[in-house]
Amino acid sequence: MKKNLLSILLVLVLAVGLLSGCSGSAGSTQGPSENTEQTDTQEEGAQTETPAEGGKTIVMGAQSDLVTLDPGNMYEPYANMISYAAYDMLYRVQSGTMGTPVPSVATGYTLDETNTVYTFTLRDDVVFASGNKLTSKDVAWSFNRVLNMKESNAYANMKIVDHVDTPDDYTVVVTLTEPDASFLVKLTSNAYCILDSEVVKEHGGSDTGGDTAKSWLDTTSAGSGPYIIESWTPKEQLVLKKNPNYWGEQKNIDTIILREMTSVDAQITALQNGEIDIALGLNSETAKQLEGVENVQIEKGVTAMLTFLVMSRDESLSPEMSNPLVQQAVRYALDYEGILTLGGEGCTIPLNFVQDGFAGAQMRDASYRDLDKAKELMKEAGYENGFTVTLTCANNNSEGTEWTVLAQKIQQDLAEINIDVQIETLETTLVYEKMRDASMPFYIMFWTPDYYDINNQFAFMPGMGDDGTAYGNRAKWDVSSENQAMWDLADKIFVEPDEDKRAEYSKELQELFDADNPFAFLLQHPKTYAYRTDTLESAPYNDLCKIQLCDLKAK
Amino acid sequence: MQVIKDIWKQKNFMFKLGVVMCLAWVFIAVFASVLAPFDPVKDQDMLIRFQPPGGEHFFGTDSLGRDVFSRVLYGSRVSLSAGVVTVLVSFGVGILFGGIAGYTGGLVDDVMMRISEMIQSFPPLILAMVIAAALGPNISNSILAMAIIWWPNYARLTRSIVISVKENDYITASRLMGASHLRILFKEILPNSLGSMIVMATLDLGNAILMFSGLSFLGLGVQPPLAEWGAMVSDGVLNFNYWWIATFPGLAIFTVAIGANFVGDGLRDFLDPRMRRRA
Repeated sequence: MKKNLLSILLVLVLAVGLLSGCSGSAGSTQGPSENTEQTDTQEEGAQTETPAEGGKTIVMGAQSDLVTLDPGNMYEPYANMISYAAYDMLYRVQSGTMGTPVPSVATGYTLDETNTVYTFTLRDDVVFASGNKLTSKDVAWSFNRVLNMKESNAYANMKIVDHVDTPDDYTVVVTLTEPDASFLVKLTSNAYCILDSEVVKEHGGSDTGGDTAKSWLDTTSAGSGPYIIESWTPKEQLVLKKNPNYWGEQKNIDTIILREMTSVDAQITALQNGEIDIALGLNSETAKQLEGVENVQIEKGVTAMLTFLVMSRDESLSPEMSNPLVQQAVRYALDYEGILTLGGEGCTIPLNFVQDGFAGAQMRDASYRDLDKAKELMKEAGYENGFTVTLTCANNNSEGTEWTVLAQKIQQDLAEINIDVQIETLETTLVYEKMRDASMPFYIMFWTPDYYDINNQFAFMPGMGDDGTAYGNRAKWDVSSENQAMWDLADKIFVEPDEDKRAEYSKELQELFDADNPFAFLLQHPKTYAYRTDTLESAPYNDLCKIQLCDLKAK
Repeated sequence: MQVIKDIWKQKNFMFKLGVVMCLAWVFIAVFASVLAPFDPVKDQDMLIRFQPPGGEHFFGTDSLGRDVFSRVLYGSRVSLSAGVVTVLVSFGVGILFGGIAGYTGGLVDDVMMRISEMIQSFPPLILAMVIAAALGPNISNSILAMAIIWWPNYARLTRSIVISVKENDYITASRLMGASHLRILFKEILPNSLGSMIVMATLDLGNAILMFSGLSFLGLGVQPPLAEWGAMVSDGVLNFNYWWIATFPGLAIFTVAIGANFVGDGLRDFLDPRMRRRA
């Protein structure tokens, strides 16, 4: 019997070991961490290097995926965090807004009657970190440099520019190929960073093609922002130093270090220990581990990330689901209050394709659910007894809201109107492939715009993206005489320079859109991050430049 | 009946514990609908998400406000049947394959055994993942994937037993009496090698359930919202602050796997003549 007792004990010990083993491996499944151990040792090494010259140092932990620091080539999600710290643009995003441009190096602009010629007047007190004065020739040179780098990812935002003229040192005239009301918004992105043309030319820069300055710009910066890029080791860390020649108000931080930390758990632990001051890799679920931790503030930043359902209009995929009446019934049947709970604090529900923060954005009332109306629509469509449809759901999440959880909620909601939803979970890459082929009748997707203007949202308009690049086409929603009115409004919004008028048109468009579209917009998500309150006064967030390093205040 | 009595009479506490654990799970699987207080799929409630264990929900609630206790009970149906089916299929295929290889011998044996070794040379979980992912994730595909990687074990064991049994005098005798090869293989040899096969199958049952849970954990087993232990543990990992979501299905996997192993161990002891004498 003793032996038996011993073996029971052994079993128990094993069980405990098993459980703790589980928790260990759980962390590593959180992100695409390649070699956590290796980065850990690197992180330790980096820490001893941390300069202690008396000045304040702020360390951020993130998985940035930066591949270059050349503003003319950057495209990655964290690109503008760095370009905003080291460079200036004619216009910047206003702090606390989604994408509203405010003058920076420019003091203002005038627009001619063709809506294509922008004349900017520049400040005359801006100097580069090198001490050179920033003049119109630097602006023209920087724009032309990107215009002649057609293979660069940043070129997409620049290609609307036809040519740049400089009548005098402090005037820049930009002529567009066609009217574009989102030009000022595009102007706030890294493609339009103003480089110190004298310095960059010395290192291979060229505004007529054949530019070779990228490798040099990967190691340092040549801008007029409040910080200078001191060093960068890809996938390890990036060091920003205060720019002593900064033309604006000096910041109270000397050094900002962006440390690459692939594992979210590593970021959480490091923030708790005070090793890092800001943890950027969190989401609504993982942040819960930091709730109630002393000196740690969890923040929610507004983003333009949307999660939505696509219901294809392709009858061959599902004759029932492609019916516009059924699609309308689905929108009525969803329990938005419950979905809002699943999304977590800070989530909102946009009426449809225009996110909160963009011109004329309309919100969906959380109590929109109307099962009677939904059933009526189902009856009208001839499917009051219901049907079966497959909901494809990638193994993915939107800022921590798991799609499989959402799918199960939707399944339950739609069961109320007799739609039998079969969930099919697939690898994310496989779902993307099927999405481009437009071969799924019903699926969950998310969306983040390339630039922060309503014009970018027209990807959801009927007929958009005839090569499967936009959701109008992916949902097989074609332009017709019924939805022509939507396009009339969209065309106006696209070019209208007056923001108030755009908002009016946008509201009207969203109402038309709400009556007939192949989508159901579920959530607009916040970005969750956390910072230490004992070292930082504030750490404001903007979706374009993530943490606004220029507005970072140390204690 | 006498055999069962003999087995039970062994002085083996772990074996009896194992039998009780397995029978309990079978009972739960059969009567899940009676025992579970809630529906495992339909009883979603956004207002009671992430409730800790206690009160109405013995094991707490999950991210959709579903009762974890009911889901663990219902999950036994999927896990147990997946484990049993996998073992039965591999058992059947393996015994046939190994029997033919061992009995025929020569070149046929060589070729057949190299084929089975080819499959065994892959890391089992990885191969199962590849097969399940290629076929598309659902229960029958992951059972098929597991059976594909599992049968060579039985084939090898059967072959080695068949080779040793076929040299016995009674086989020669039956051959002299003019029995066909098929008759010798199926009526004489295989029934005499079944004992150790059954032991292996029992021992494997736990492993099969474990591996099926592993596949589900990786998103290759059942499709949501079906309750399955591995998938539930995976849910729990995503909601790390709420320990009960992963712990209880984890314990369920653990008890079934260890129960099956105890039973297998006990059976082996019983069938091993040397061990039996000692007992």
